[in-house]
Amino acid sequence: MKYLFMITILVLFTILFFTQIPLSPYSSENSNITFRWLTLKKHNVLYLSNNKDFSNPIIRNVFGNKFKLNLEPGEYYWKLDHSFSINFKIPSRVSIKSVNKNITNDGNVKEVLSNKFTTFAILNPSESRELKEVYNVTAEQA
Amino acid sequence: MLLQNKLSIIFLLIIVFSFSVNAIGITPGKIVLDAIDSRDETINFKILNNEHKDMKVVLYTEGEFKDLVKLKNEEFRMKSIDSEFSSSYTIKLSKEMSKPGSHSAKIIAMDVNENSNGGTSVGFSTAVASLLFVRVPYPNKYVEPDFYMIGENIDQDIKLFVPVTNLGSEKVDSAKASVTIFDIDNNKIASINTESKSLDKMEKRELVGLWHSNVKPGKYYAVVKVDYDGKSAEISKKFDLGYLILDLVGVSVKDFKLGSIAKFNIVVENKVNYPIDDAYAEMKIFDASGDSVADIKSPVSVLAPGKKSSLLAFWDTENVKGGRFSSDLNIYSKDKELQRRLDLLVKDNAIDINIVGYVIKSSGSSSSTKLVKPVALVTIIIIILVVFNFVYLYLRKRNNNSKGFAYKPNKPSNISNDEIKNPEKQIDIPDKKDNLTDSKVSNNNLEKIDSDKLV
Repeated sequence: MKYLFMITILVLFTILFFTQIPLSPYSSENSNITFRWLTLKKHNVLYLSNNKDFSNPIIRNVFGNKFKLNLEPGEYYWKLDHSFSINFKIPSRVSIKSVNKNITNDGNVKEVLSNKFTTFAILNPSESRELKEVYNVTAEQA
Repeated sequence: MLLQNKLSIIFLLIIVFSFSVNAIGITPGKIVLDAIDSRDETINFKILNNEHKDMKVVLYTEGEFKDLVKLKNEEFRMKSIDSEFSSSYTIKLSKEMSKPGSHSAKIIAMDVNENSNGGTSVGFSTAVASLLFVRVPYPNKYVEPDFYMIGENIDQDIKLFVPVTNLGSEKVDSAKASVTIFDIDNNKIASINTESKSLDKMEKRELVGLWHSNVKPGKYYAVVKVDYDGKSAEISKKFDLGYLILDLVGVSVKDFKLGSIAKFNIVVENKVNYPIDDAYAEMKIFDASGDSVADIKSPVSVLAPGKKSSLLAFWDTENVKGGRFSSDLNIYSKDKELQRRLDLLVKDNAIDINIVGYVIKSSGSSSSTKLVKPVALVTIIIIILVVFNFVYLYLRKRNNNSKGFAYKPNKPSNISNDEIKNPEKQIDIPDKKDNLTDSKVSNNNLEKIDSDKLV
């Protein structure tokens, strides 16, 4: 009975050693997403996918307890090699800046610039275009 | 004189407006809601004041569902110290709200130009829109398929992906796809079946198949048929195969010492019979935490037809500590881009480089089922072990308690030590309640009998 108890404790510690608990990622500057996890393992494999089946994942060898990736807005799933997966969303940001009719896409997604009648331009993030003879511009996610 | 002053003011205003800076933002830029049940959905959004200026913002709605959207605020002011303003809108959803399919509305935030008197001036105005899409389910089961593939080389394994979305009002128990590949002369080349998966209402999943492309380079098309619970949906898509013009042969660093400049020799092969102009390599290097440590580029060069060429990039490793790094390597040319992922192990006298590529799991389709089983198994083992421990500790505690009583010298005056050691021999257990009045059986004896029975 005593041995069984000790074996149980050993098994529990072994499981604890291999347990990987992914935590909710957080975003920092420049669309960098920081992934964090709890584990006693030094080397882990991070999987990131846009679907919960992880059919076409990005795979990274990671060391330590956090890792940063630059990601576009969207819905993602991530996990470590033997963990459960976590779902998170990076919200899109539609933003424009105009200086003397020179319009810049200040957001983090491709934007369509238009008014009620026509589309003037499609701009990638940080891209600029001069719009002459235009008085009202509305930007929306392409 | 008065006229002159007026003209000066107008001139100044023209200058001010001609160099005016307008900036406004909204997040999230897009929301998709599913009308699978009747409910009021409230969506929070933020208006961004990136230029930190005083502005008046007007909110309004446009689009097919504009009348269903109730805005919390229709007009508000932001001061230069405000970086954002939080607001929300509510929409009443129900399955019967409209015909099946996708419907939309726009929530528009306009930066209204104001003159010094607080009135609105006519001029250039900027606005941003947050898109709202409402998906109304189709009756019963309705699956919409799509198709894409990864890999463009011939004679290699190509992964075929069939994203399927259940846009119906009922769960799909089993969806399975068959992908048939044809050449441009409509000759059937191959037929690949994917595994089957279930789909909840409005759920999107991916069915995956593997095809070994033992065909000639050229144009092909795939007919994708998805069978789901007695129904089917079909699409077809064209694709090119075997037109990889650039390939990464290897990356190496020679004669390296930590702290000096590392010379990366990136060898690429031009697989076509014409030179590739304006080719260069870019390496973004990240440390073990994913933080960017370097962004290096090679000079632009011409890649000779059908030959291997070297692109050189230099990394100054001063203040760099040895250890593991990763790198996104991009080879750019006029009309083609090649991406690879590298793992770097920086040592004192060498850099070990491993090309890991944009790794695709060999059997991603079954990954989820593989994942669930070990997790479930470990959970069951933990539960069993925890229960076992509780039972063990309980039994041990009870055992200790009973042993503790046996050694307590709580003996009545008319019972000898021998009687305590061998109570079964010495004490008669009374058969009837009346016998409890027997002077030999005290309360202490009754307790003793009970505890013995337990042991």
